[in-house]
Amino acid sequence: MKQWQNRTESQKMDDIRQTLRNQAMPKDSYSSQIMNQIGEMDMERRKKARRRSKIIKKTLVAVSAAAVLGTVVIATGFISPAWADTIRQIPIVGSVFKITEDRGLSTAGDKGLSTAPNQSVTHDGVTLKVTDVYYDGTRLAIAFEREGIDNEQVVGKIIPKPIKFDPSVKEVKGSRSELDQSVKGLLGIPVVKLPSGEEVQSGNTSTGDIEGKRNTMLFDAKKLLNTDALGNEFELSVSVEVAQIAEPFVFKVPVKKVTEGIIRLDLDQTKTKGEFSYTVKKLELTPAASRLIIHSKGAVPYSSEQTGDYSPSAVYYEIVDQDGVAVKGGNHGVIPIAGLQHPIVDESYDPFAVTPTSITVKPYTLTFDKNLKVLEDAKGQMIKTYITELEQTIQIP
Amino acid sequence: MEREDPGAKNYPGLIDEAVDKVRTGDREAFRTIIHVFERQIYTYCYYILKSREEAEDAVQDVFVKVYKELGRYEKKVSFSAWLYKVAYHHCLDQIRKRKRRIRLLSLYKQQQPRAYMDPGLENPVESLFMDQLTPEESNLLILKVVEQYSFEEMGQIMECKPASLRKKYERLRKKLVQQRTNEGGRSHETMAKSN
Repeated sequence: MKQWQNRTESQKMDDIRQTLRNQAMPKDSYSSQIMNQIGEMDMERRKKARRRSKIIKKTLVAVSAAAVLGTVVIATGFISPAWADTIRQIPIVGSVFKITEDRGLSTAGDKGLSTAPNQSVTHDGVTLKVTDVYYDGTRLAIAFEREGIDNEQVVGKIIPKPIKFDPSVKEVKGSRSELDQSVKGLLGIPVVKLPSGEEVQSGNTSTGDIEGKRNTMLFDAKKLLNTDALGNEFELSVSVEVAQIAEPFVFKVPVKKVTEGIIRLDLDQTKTKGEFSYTVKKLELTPAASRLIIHSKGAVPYSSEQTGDYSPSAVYYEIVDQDGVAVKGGNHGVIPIAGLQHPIVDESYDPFAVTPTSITVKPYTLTFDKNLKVLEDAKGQMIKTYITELEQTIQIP
Repeated sequence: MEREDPGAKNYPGLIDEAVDKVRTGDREAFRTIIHVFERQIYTYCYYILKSREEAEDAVQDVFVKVYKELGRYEKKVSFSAWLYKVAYHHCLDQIRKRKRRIRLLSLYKQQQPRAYMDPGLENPVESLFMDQLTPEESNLLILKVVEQYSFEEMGQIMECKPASLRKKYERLRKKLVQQRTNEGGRSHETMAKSN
């Protein structure tokens, strides 16, 4: 203490700066608590919101989806081929989607994989139909067809509402964004509500046109949260706004959960390397998605190439089947922070074409250079540093 | 001296992008914002409130508030400055409430901040903050020295004139420099000044 008091002013300032910049938090992160509080708060606000003021949530592709599926461009009417491929994998029987016979799902289709087809609503010369629904507990996809409008573009642009800063206003009520009304017949993002009145919650939702099919729209919630309580059959309220048409298009859509070909495993498998350990808590394989929930803690392991000017990213997890074939996903947006820790990881991936007999989880990191840009190889692919000691295999019963 | 905005330093568009996403309904994008800033905000609250538990509550409250008010962020200040503004006012509120609580308990005299301090603090910087600086002084020091905001930016965070902040900061600098050891040793700075 006495020595410190003798230091020069600029030394003291340096010490202060250093000490505070190195200050550790008692927890790895408060993000879960904060996001939970925000979730509860949003639910409260939704309950209070008046009927007309829709709060449009989860409308745009999250960073996650963009990394996995290529960019979904909303409002220009076309989507990337990568996403189209994924959509074709969705085993829905119906006019809009292709059936993959290999999966033996055509019988499942007859049993009602696709429910409530051809519900239709007409206002002001425009007809919207719900043609297909797919739900498996993790993923909800609703397909629409539009008639009465001759336009390549189907999904309209969402404009954030400009909000003026007014010190006397304590809270901003009502919706934060609105559908661009300049072209008639363009569709807004569907508002999909559960029987309870709450909107469907998903960590990764997108809405866009379907390539190759004119006048169609697909609402795709790929990482549903809190679906256990819903059961196998329930009804959704779906509301779609259409530009220059005052009345919203409202549908009551019965949903039946796909139960065949779904594997859900609750696990507690842990692997450790040095300070870092992770536990696979849950694995879900459905015909339309794979999902992995992992708890992890400790400092991110790094290789000798990830020292000095270089640093490791957060830990990401790849999954491969018994033959070592990987599915896309697990790397949803890279946050440029060295060694970022994620205590809870909830990742979604493409589905496996055939249910595997076992899955191996392969943790890896990416490498940042001194400007926190990710290192890429000659082909422009991000270089993955696999941490082989942390691999673990999960048997699929 | 170049000012670093932590969000901007790492990836200029990252925070702006995340803010836009949240504003159009992608709640999950807010997680990015939390990850980038939570440690700084926790640290700030810890040294102002001088308590680990209060800082843990404060950091969560601050981010929830920021989420609620994201519509109001007008990009006239840097996002981190706006974040600090929320944190600053929140901490002031907490301190006011604390003082009210203390006043009501007539058994206690005005408590020294030390009562909240974690025991066994060795680090002279921590002792400085905990024992010798008022919340206002801690705030000034952190914003100026650690986050390296300009006085103009600090004026926007604290909603007061940059000129008065400059004066307060000068007084604070003198206070830091003039600390002497018990033995009467003098720091180089004061030596220089007296010459």
